[in-house]
Amino acid sequence: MSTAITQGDAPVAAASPPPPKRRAVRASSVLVYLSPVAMFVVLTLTTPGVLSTTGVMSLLVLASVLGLAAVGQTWAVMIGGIDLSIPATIGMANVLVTTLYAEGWGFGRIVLLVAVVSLAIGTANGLLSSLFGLHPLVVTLGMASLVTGSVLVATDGNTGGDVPGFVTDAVSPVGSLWGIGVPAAVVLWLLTLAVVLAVERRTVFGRRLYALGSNERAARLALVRPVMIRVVVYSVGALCASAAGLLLAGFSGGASVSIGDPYLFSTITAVVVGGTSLLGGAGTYARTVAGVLVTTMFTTLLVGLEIGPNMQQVMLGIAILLLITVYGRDRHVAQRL
Amino acid sequence: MSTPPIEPAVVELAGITHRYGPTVALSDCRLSIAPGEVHGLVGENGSGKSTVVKLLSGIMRPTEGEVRVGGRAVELRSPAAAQRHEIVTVFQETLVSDECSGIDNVFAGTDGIFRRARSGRAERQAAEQVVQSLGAPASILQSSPHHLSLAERQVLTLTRALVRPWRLLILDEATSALDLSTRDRLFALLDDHRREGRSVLFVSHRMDELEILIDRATVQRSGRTVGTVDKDEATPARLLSMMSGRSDAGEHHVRAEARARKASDVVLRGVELGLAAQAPAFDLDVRRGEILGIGGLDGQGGSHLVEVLAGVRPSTSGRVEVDRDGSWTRVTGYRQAFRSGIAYVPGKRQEEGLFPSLTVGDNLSLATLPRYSRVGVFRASSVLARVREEMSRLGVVPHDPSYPITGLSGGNAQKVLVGRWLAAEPDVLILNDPLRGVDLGTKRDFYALLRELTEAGTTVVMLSTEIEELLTCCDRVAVCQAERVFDVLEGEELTYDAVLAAMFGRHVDAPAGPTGPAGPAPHDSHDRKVTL
Amino acid sequence: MTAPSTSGTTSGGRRRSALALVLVGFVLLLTACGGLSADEGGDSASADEYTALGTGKPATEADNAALEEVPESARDAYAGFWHSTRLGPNPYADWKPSEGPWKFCYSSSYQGNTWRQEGLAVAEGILEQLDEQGLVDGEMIVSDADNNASLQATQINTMVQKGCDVVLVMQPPTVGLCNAFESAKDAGALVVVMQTGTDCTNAIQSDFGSYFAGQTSATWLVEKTGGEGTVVMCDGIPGVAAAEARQAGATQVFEEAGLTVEHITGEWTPSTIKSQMLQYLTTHPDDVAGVWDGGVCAVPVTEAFEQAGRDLPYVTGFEGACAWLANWKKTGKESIGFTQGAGQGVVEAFKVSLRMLAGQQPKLNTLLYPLPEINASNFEEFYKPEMTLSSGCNAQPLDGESVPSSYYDDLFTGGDEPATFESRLDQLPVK
Repeated sequence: MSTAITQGDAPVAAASPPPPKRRAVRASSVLVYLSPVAMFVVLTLTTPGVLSTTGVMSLLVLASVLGLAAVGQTWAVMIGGIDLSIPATIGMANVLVTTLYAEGWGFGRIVLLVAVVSLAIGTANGLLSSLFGLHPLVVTLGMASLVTGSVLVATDGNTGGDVPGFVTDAVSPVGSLWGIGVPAAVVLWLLTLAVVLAVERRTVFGRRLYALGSNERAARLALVRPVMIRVVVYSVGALCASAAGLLLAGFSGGASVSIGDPYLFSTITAVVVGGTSLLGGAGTYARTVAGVLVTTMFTTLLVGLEIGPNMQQVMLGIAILLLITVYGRDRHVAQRL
Repeated sequence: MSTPPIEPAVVELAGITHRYGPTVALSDCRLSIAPGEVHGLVGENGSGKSTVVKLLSGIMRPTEGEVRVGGRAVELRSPAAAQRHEIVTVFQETLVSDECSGIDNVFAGTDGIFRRARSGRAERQAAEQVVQSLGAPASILQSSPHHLSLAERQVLTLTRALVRPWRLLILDEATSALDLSTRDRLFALLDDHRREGRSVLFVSHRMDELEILIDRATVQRSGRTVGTVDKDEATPARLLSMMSGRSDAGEHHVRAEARARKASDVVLRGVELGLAAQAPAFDLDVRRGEILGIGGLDGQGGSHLVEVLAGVRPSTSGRVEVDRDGSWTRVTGYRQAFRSGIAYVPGKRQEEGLFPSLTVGDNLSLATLPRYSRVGVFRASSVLARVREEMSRLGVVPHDPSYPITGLSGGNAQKVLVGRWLAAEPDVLILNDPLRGVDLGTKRDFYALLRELTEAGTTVVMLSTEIEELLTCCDRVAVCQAERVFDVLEGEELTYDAVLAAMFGRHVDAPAGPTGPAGPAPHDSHDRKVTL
Repeated sequence: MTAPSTSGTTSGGRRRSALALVLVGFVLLLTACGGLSADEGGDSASADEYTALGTGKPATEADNAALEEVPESARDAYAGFWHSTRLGPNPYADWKPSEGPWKFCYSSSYQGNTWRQEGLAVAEGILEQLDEQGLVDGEMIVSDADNNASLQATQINTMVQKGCDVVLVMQPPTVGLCNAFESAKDAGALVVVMQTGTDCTNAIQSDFGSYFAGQTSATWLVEKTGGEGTVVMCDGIPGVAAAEARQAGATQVFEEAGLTVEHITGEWTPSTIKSQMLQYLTTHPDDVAGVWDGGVCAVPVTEAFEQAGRDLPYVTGFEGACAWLANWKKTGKESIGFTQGAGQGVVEAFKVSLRMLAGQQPKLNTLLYPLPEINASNFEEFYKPEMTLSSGCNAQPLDGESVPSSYYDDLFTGGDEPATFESRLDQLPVK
């Protein structure tokens, strides 16, 4: 039996509540995904050199490292948290890979070890922020310090080493995977993007992730296990950050525990510029990818325009504020009015 | 219809039209509130009541038309502006911040950033006076709202409005969370204010309250003003027929015929249950295929009981058992309960039920996604089909799974929440006060739906704070009092008087209770006999 | 359930807030520009005890008066000194060294990289030798401040309380530690700041001539490019005195030669340098005549050129990293650099400390020395086959030290012959 609501004789309001922000949300999504295109147009107009295969590939290689590092940040933000341990995890992977490879470890073993350590970091982040009700800000900050310190203790500060040649090729803009003319790092990023988006959109886990970020109490009652979601979110984040750390090892030869430091600010920037709400429950990695592309091209533009480092910072700050004002503004609060 | 008042209206809406994009929410609305009157505003959901309230409290501005205060056209640009015109509003949803104390909640917004509007002492005295006149202990001002009951939180929001200077108080379903005695005290308090020339705009679904309180009532239907009637004309039957546009609207008050269920066929039972440390233990059987109502005054254990039955809250003693293919399985937690066929629809929609940033479809399908999944990946088409099926069964408007949940009215949102658990096809459906603040049409649909479910073999346990509702749709009613089940009423014993009496820990041959105005409603008043 | 607010009110609010943001941004911009041009010449130092005048401000009378004391033979290393340090009279003029053995302490601002580890290892090696001579009292106290200035100040205070006679301070921040140095001095402890200039004139500073080194490599690049085209300067961390001084030296040379100068900011971090260089090359299709290295840049810059498919121009080196030498060997492209390991810096600081412990008085607070140069003529002597592109080590001076002990003879007066030691830099591992 279908029991439709009995309506009055005059369907003026058609019992339809006000159509809320849907149109506005759509418009802002379009803006988010158009902004990398717009930025690319601006970039090519101001600095014509960009429009070449190596030019584009350079941008994509830089973007892929940031993109991988930002996976964890996006998901952490989507469940209403934040991950400050991403730079430390990048540094950990970077140092372990170079140091152990120089000591003659097989690459497979190294990757396995780094993966295990990443999972441990992610699991600890997830468990601590769930079980003891600690804010992820504090948990991941402590974890960052723990990881960096442990790496320094283990290596005695001698963080140099070696990387396999194919890792160096993977992040070379002229590198090519299977002869298709695209560096392996970019391919890895695209694969990650596909998997992450599929998980967000097509899996039970993805839906539960959004539910947890939207309303934890309701999520619990709807059979979501917050601990499990958090553990997975922070573990996936740590794995992707480690991949970024590995790529950075190939990118610059040398290794350092602090190599990931710039990625705290830049991952958060990418997430925010993409318009993912810091309150959680909304957003997607696709938006972050747009944010990654925009920020990468924007910094390139600033280098191209020969703006000094101090002024670059000023411009970046203004750009972030403007961008989030235009399309990333939080609708969450307004809806709760 | 009523004659316009001679004195200039305190507040008047003249030809107000309001559109959200292409949708007309309010069309040529006319409303005039005289000094010293309690003015009822009634209508089903989507009739424009909420829009009127929002216009008057400065949350929205009308697309067309004028708002007049004391005869002068004004623009209420913000809630602060409304307050400057001495219009204060108490909303249905109890908007209280858990982060600060009761007193800070009460005075939030009256201070400047650097300046305190009043000394702390004067603040406390004013607030204490209001709280006490509502019959609540002054201590709720000091404790964190986190620990307060729904009713106590609502007292805070009422206090918040009443400590401000006002000449129009808007109560938007503000009484539905209150227990009866607090409600009566509030009504008495409003009476005093009315005599001092202040006015109240009273938005409520509860006919008994309207009958007691109002001087005049304006009826809205589908965004239009149907008309304003005086007190003597404002009988429930008349109001209902104006609201629905039908003459038979009063019908739902007639109780559906209670069906006898075999007392031996028990599907869920509480054995020597204790709800609180000091409370006596009791047994409770839920029979297969029945609708068991849980009644009781707020804070008397009703809410605890449904949570315990659903496994959400552990009992302090005893156990809950569910029949699984002929053997009793103990309920140890809500996940395990769910696996045993028990679904629980939580009470506080906003806090425990809805995911504000998700769509209607996602909200509805979340709990049952695994059923449509292989290795964690769900089949979107099957999920969508099921969502659509539930939405049409429940009559969710608009019928659009991709609609944001925040765009739905309270009643429709509640339907989605129930749909989330109906989709699980549970053996036992436990609902924690699902119809609080929901319009009559939706209620009617729910009653029919619950009937339909039980015909198909589902067992329903439903908490309700409204006696009429319990009478209308339940086969049996367990009334909680002092953290235990005081009485289970069924058949002929199940009367308004009996339920009301049980709420106050009495059987029907004793006086109905200490409350005056909420006294016996015109139901089965001949039926008075001892039930236990 | 409350419906969302109307689009009308929020869009109005949004417009307002956007406007406000633009205004705030504009104000910030103006402030930033104003700040850049507000570099008025500093007043002369008036404090009796010490000055804390920011580095990079023009030399004051006090600076110049101190410079008068520097012998002609050492003047080159002091070129452009005001970019990285403040000169002044010997702050330890009234200080009488105690009789040995002495307690040595080592306060490092950070220990998390190979370069810093080398410095500490060399210090421990030297201490071992001094211990054999009976000059050392107990274990050396070592601390790592993890780049936290106030933590380092506390650590230095603690060291003084524990009776340290000499506190060697490795690369402290240029500001923020003056008070810690002052109280150490008051307590009779000798503070020697290594490998950086500071704004505090109340400690002894031992450093190499950064400005001079920048000039040297820039001059070489001007010769190689024939004084034409565009050079890209790969800058270090903005605002750090050591980076600014090298850049100032190089800039002065390039400007004089009339070359076009452009910048990338590599922040002494290989991954950042490579990103910046790639971004630069992407946006600048025109030829680059040369790249000047402000530290750590040579290898990542070379990789960026190779991977962008561009011809490799002349790229200078700076700190003489093993990886840079391996890169030179691999590309065959001539370069120039210095030996600037932490170990050799520690050696110079010990030389200065031991002279002062022997009662010698420096003529001024800051002792700058020139770095040994690595160029095409001596490349083969520095290069070793074990060096690879991923090596973390640094080339060491061929003589085992940056300057002979006699370099300091004219910078000190009075006192006895100091204790001596072998630097043993050649025994450091190449890896």
